[in-house]
Amino acid sequence: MSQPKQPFDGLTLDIKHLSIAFQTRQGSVTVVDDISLNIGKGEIVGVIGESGSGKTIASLAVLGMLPRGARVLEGTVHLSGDSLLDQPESYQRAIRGDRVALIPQDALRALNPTLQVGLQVGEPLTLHRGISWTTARKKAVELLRSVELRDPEQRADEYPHQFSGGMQQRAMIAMGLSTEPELLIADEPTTALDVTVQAQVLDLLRNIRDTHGTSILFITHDLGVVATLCDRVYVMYSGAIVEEGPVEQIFSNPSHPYTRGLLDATPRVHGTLTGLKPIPGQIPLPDARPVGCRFSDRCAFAGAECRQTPPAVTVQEGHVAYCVKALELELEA
Amino acid sequence: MLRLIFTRLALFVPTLFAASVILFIVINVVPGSAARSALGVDATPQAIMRFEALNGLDRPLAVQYTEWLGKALRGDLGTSFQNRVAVAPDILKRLPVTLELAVLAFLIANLIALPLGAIAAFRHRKAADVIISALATILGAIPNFWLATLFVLLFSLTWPILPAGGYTPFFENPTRNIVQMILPSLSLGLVSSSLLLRIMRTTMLEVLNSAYIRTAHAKGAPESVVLRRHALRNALIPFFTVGAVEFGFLFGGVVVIEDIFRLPGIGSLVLVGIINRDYPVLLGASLVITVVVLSANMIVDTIAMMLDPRHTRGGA
Repeated sequence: MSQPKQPFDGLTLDIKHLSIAFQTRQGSVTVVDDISLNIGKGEIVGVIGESGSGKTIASLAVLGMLPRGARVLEGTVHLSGDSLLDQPESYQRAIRGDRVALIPQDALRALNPTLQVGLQVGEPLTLHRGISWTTARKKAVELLRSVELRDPEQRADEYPHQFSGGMQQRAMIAMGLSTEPELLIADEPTTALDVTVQAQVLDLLRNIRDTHGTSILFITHDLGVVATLCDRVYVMYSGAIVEEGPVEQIFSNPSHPYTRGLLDATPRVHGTLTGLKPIPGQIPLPDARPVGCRFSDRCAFAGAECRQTPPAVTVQEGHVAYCVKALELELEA
Repeated sequence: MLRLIFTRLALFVPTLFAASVILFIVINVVPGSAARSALGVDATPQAIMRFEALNGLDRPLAVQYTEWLGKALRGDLGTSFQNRVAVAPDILKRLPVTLELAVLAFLIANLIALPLGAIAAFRHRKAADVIISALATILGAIPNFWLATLFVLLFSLTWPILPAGGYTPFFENPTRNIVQMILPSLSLGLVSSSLLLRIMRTTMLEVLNSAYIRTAHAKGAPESVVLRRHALRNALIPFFTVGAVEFGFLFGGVVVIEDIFRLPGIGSLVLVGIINRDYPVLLGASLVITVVVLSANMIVDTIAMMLDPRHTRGGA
């Protein structure tokens, strides 16, 4: 069948006005609300937010793997110009694991405990390239070597429980790379790892981008990881994007009170622990968001004008904050 | 892996010993007298005393047990109070009948439980799941003797296509043997499939919700590959471990089913032993069933371990 194309503008991933809702007994609950997000070729883009902000659900929509009960209300998702939504399952399956690969959070749980690692790493090739298991296993050894796993030849025949946490995550990355995808979706891939191993994995991801030109969507709640790895970042709060821009700008000049709150709640080398300011309150449940700006009930700067839908305020070229007071706050800072 | 099997083997002996002690106590504590059963209600007190002295029943339980154990270790399970037949050879002769019935019933139960349980999990909360789960509940609620009677009524009396009972050794006439075994093993297997089906559904559901199944989907694997390559083996490991217990429960049914279909197995021996207070028979038959169940559990556990590389292959 013919696939609806949009003029290819060099964007690997282009999400426009995407809304996703869960069908519950109480009715429909919007968990992703009108988000637009794009990733250029070879770009590493971070999506940062607390648990429940909708970042993972949005990434699952790209893979066509929304959980049961969730559905896309509106919006478009294009991968290098090819529309991904409203496609038959077979089409989405052909994209998954071939042109888009997922690197999940907990590598041990994400690996099949009863299958040799080499076979799991080579499996996408057997599925999408139709090559034999013997060839796939040989390719898997090369892939494991390319993610700097020691003794890849022996390791390929081992099972996941024989690997350390860092090795398991390397194996997952090798699996993701097997088909040389255009886009890697990394869903908190370093959260379960030790700090030193975490740094190695981040280095590895950066190398992959530099050598293959792979675009990476990096989902995390860790500002430090975003600062070291990403080119641009989207800050999500309660299902919506509240601020977006180049990483240096977001860090040096946070223009949404929520982003500023996140930064203030993150320990720094030259700060004191008592200087940490947690954001008061909790992220609202999707069916209990305040009217207008959804951060307004936790925001120290909120006023009557925040009961309106917040406008997109361009702080600088490419740096947008969805806050009616964005420029005022910037002046204050 | 080998060490695990040896550990299980080493546990075999104390388990068997404990089972024999418990059986011995229970059998002797239950009201009723062996002498009265053997001699009839009109027996004189003298006759009863003579019978008890003759069979050593007048001695303390501990002495009786030690003597029984000493003989049992040499393969002598005593003689029946009722007909003076040696218990051990009788059991050996009947063992194949019971084993065939139990194994056939267990196979039937698994053949029903595995695919239906997997389908129910795969179609979780859809029509197929609801129907299969309802079926499992109904099967689990049916007493096997009732089902056996119904089967005889339907397939032996109303439509006489299958025999209502009897036994021919397999090696004497295989066809006849299988035909005679259909109704007994079906009535036993159908009821046993209920628990196994629910176990399979639960383990499969757990596996299907696991992160590695999501990984398989994210690789673009079609549903059939996800199920066959990634889900099945992982679901079978817990299924076998838990399912082995059902093989033990099955023997509760064997006793009744053998009686209904007049199968000369160990189960019917247990029944006769209970009715007649024939302690040597009852004790011997129960112990052999214990050995069979323990062995079956060990075999199944070994299979489950072989399926799981976390047992067969060491750590990092």
